[in-house]
Amino acid sequence: MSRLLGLVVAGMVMITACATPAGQVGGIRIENAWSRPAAAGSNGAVYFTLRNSGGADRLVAASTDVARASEIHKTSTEGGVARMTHVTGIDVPAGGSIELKPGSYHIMLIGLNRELRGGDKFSITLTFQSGASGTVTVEVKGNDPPPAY
Amino acid sequence: MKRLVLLSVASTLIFAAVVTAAVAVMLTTRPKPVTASLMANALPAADFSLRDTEGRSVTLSSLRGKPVLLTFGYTSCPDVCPVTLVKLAQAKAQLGPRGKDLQVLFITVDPDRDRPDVVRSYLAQYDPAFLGLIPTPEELEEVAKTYHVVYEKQPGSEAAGYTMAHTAATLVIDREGRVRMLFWPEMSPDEMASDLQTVLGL
Repeated sequence: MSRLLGLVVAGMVMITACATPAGQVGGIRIENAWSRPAAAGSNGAVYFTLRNSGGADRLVAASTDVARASEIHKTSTEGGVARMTHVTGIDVPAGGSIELKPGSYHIMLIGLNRELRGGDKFSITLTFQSGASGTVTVEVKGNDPPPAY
Repeated sequence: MKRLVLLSVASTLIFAAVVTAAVAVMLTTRPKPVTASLMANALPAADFSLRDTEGRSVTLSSLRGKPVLLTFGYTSCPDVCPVTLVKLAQAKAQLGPRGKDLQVLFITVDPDRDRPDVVRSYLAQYDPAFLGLIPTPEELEEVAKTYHVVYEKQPGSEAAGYTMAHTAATLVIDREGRVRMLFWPEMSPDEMASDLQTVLGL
């Protein structure tokens, strides 16, 4: 009986981890995953904060059903010229945190297969170099008021 | 004697009131600091004529009398362009009736991929009154050169195709057709709205 209860609790914990904008993958906590409105067929971007209470790790991949492909990108601005580069991963130092945000690191969603409207939610799966992988919910924030840069 | 005292008290009070009022006026009329990059010499914005998303020819000089916000971008840009457009829309909304005749012009730096209907629906997400201009590659080269705007195709993955590196500034042109300042994506809508009031007198 207590084993059954344990299983149910474990199941509930897993479901919770899958359905909230925050999630835990190994020692890394994924917080405040958000995106902005975008038309079907166009591209989108996903932002979140990674807080690492464990050893050093590296975000190496992201995938979601809402887009044809997902890549880790970084925007950098030099001399007023903004440039987006496809990067192989983002280091998450031991005990440190990294914020993916506009004008910096983001997950680029390539070829959205549906429109993203303010208030929508979708899932994204993040994979780390350590092999840890987890799914979090991304909230589409409306354009009014605009999210901070 | 008593009258003299009363008179001096009254005049002191009046003097204090006048000083307080003057200070209050000075404080409220002192110009707010500007966040945008200000142009030292407000040069006339060079004219251009480009097709909009409806196929109409739009000439910059025909917009004289309206403040114009001129920005460059492309619709498959998921990060910087939405930031700029959402902030321009918000700043315009904040100005209310004073921002009503403000015209935002968006020139695509990706005419190979940006079809008119795509540009129209992309801009409508932010403000349906934003006007999208689609130059030919030759027109783009010329208008970019005129405004010192950089754009460059960058090879991407097979999935993403290429991306465009581009100048992320928005040129602010006053009612007389002079370039007065540059807005940057890092600025907040509040700062943009405040600068439009301070510099353009909106």
